[in-house]
Amino acid sequence: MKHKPIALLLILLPFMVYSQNYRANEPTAKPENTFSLKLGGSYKTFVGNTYIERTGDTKNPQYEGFTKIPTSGFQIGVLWSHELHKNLHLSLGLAYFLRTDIYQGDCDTVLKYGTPTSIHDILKYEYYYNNIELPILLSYNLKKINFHIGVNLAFLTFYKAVYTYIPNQNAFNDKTSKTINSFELAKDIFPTFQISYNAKYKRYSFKPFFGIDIGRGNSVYLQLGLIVPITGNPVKNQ
Amino acid sequence: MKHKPITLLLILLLFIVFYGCEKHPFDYRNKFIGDYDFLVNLRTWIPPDSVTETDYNYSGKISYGSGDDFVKINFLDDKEVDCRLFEDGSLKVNSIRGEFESTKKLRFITEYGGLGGKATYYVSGKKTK
Repeated sequence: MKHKPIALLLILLPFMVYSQNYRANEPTAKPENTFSLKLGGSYKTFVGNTYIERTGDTKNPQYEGFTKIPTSGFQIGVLWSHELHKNLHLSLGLAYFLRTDIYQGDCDTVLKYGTPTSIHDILKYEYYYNNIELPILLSYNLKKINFHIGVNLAFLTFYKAVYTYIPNQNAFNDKTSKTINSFELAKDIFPTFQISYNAKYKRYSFKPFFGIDIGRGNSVYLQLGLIVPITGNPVKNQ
Repeated sequence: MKHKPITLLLILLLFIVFYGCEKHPFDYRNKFIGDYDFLVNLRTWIPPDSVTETDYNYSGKISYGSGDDFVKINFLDDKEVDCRLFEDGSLKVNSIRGEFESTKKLRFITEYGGLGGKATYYVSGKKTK
């Protein structure tokens, strides 16, 4: 699946062409473009069991016998929304999204089975992904409610991994944790579904939204936040 | 030409993702490989009781190894080890014990020899590039 971004581009092309044709047929129509600021919090939870069974045949044997822990995160970014049709918009953006993975083991089990992928006996894995993501969304407006479906494509990440371990004879010091930081390319794609509501208070327009991103390992990111239009006519369809 | 910015953004993104880096994209070893300054303490033991100790400074290199999870560590002119590198920076192969303490610093011990004597290398390295 190395070519997911190309596949996405190919999926989007017909919409761009359609949009151009739509505009060509209405030469007097003014393009509807909106820039918005998006910010919100997220809570990562799991569908099904959070305990990873010790089967011996998983792709990541180091997490066997560990429990996945729910985590919180947040996002902030800008969205550019382009009108494809009366009620249909294409939104592209650039966002910072903090996503976290935590796996917790227990001391007795770790000492009994050891850690197959380290010289340490690791008790806890914490991964903090400070992602730069490209949201690509198709939005359908139904009166004041907007439905968004698409993907958040993570392409860069500042990655911080914290390993908590039990000191043993292989270690060169008596530390009980190690942190590895790096700036890396990312290739995560999070399918997303969001609902927002066109609200107005006095002169100010804003859109509270609720969203769900689908992540790896049966995880889902529940999101709650605000989309604040900064240009354009965000409540045209009200 | 209305969609020029979108197209440019997508092309730029694809370029960054696939061609933006001379290292293997999405490889966890990328953060560890590069040029290193090594400080090597060599202790040689020759039976029955002769022990010599020598220090070396060497500008070496850590590069991709023989397998998907291996790195080659060239820490002296004639010394290169090919060892398994785990995601947490642990180095593991029969003759080596050590780890990366961060993406810029590592320490390991490696031994060579047999009945006629033994050479133990205590190696620490700092990334320069």
